[in-house]
Amino acid sequence: MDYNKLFDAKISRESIGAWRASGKKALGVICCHVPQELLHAADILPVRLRATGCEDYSEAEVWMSSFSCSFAKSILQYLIDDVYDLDGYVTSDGCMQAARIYDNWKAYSQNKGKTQAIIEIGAPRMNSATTRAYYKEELKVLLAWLEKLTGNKITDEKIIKSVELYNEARGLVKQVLELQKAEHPVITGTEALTIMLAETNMPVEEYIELLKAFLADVPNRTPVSGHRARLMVIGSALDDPRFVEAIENKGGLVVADTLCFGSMAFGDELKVSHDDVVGSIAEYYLDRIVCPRMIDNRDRLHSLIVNRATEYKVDGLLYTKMQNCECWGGENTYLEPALKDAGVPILYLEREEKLANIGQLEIRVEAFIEMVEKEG
Amino acid sequence: MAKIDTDILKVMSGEMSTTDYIASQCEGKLAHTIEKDPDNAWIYDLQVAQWGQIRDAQKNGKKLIAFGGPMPVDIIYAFDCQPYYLDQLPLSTAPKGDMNSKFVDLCESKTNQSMCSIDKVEMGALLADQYGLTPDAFVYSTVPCDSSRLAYPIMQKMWGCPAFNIDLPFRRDERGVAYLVQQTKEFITFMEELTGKKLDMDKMKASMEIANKTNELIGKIADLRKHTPCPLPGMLLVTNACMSGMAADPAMIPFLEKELEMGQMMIDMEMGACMNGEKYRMLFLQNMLWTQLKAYSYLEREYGAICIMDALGHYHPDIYEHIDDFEDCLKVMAVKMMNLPMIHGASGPVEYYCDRITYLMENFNINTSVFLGHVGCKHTWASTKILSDFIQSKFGIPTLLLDVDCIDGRYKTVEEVQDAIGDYLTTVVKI
Repeated sequence: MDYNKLFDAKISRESIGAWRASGKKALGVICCHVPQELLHAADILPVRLRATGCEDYSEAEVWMSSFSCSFAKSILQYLIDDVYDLDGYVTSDGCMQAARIYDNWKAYSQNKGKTQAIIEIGAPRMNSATTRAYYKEELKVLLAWLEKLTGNKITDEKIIKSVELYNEARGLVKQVLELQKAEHPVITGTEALTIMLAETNMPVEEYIELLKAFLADVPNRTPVSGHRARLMVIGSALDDPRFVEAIENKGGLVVADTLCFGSMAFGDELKVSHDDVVGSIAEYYLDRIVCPRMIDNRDRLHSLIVNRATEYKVDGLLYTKMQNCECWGGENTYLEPALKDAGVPILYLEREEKLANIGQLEIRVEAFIEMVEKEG
Repeated sequence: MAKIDTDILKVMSGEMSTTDYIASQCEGKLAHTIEKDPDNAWIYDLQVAQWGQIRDAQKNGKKLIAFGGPMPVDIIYAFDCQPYYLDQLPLSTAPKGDMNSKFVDLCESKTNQSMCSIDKVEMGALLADQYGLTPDAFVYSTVPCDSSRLAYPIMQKMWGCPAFNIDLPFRRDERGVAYLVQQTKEFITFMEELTGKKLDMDKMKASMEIANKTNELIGKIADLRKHTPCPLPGMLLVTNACMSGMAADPAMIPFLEKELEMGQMMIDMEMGACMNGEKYRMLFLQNMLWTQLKAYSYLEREYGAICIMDALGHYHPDIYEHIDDFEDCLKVMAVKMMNLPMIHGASGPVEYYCDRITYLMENFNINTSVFLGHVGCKHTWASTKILSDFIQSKFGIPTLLLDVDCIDGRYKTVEEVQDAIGDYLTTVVKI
């Protein structure tokens, strides 16, 4: 089976179009706190919205101002430009700027007379029995909305089947990420990110088949060599593999990440309690570490980053913060000393959604690689 | 020759704490005003009470509870504890440019440049170890913004004191109220464990009665501002921020009574705050001019332009109607948290913001709209087109979008702000 579709980072309308042509709905999803399993259980194609390749968000900036992060503006721009071919979208109040995409798209689409099915659910920003109960109710609101939208009854059985599929995808992605632990992995960081991005706009069933085909072909792949340093990337939403490619072009090999469009989007297996299916999904999504949007996950997040850096034997860590992203604005305060203790040097890079200043990035990364590369 | 503020040099060099500095500044201003202008001493009475209580709480055997964002503060008073609303620090020091700059710069060295300067000062003062106190607990909510959610957990870790968090719901509905009621009950348990005593319902009622009184007064003062000409200067709106931490503090009552009395007296005398006549009744859609306080009186004097109300400083006077029914009171507390400035407009769907603006536009006889946007409030900036389009279509009034840093005066000088608003008034609004 040809799995090359996994290595295409472009936003494709092909899968979405084919899905919709069969009479089914496709909904955009913003943020990792919208459980895609629930959309899948309603026979909806969840399309995690990204803004890969967005070079001009000037119209969105009119709506969201120059003070918003360019990821949020670029997503809005892509909605304005109709880059996706969707029936609507579902979002959570992930971070407060991404949450404003909802307000602005609603206003914009109403102005233009577009009919869109959109809903925003509240995802608590801390994890406790009380917040999990609230989130569970929010998910029930979402389920009711999805049922109304599609006319499909969403049973516990359907949700469990969807969870099983997504768990299978999680397990396969984990196998892909394990490949990066090798001294000479058979995939680059650019390829790994591209593989994970591919999930965003194709049916999970197709994704699973492509991943299986890829993994079966691993023995035939040529190991990567010639890199000067093993690197890890953390920070704000990064949905453009060209950024990683620029790093790797300078001799780095990105072997690990904690990106919300990378490994964090998949996470560990979701264990469903058959007694409380929606409740267990709520618990999973609030407990799962994705980014510092939560008020009470910092220590766990930092431990995860340090452990991953150690596990993947990285020589240096790149902390890439999107300009105006506050969620990722202050982790260095405690992360830096923890990484220092673990012997992992860190480089801070501020970036925009569009690949501006790529030359400067390359110079800084090259200098960093020279600092951290091991002799011999 | 101008008198040199030698104490600020001590703060700059790290010798003096921010708390001691602000408290002594307030006491000095009060003493000076009593001597030179005793009729206006009431303005400083409140600040002296506020900062003196914070400074001396632990010396007086009270637990000091630092808090950020919407919290059920009336409960803190009921436990005989002293709340310290952390935003009061940057708001109090905003006119002291050098001092704020020190803490802003220090914080930026550990975090990033784009975060809100309110949080930068709060965190910077802690990084400099210049609070001069360690709270007995730090309690904070998950909003107002991403920036506070960045700073507070770091500060919690630095202080190392017991902490409690409340998550604000996305929607302001009955389920949201129930969500906050449940968390408020958990907060009471936290306070009981912290203080080692059960919540005394008599003290709780006393606290709520004071809060009722202050809320009633702040509502009446807001009503005075509906009058044309507006009897109260725009600058007095700045003091509204005290309500976030002091609504249940007896010291608020004489202050608000005096403000109400002064406003009523002005109306009785058929006078307005604009000495040369009132032309422009401005609604500031976002923040206040903390660093450029002089601009208020300048605009009033030079253009007859008065800030009638600012959307984020507008207090919704929520009253405990059934003080003997604690479950009902808990619901009111939940509503209060959701109606708090910085929350009522800025978090949640933008419809809440539009509703608040509609209320203000319709009730305060506004003819000039200015989005005076604090650069740190990025999520609020992300709603500017919706808001300005809304105001244009519903009220036929254009909106000036003007970026300021309400804490870090280096961003824009008072003259720049005055000129931008002045030009807008004379070239666009043209009344």
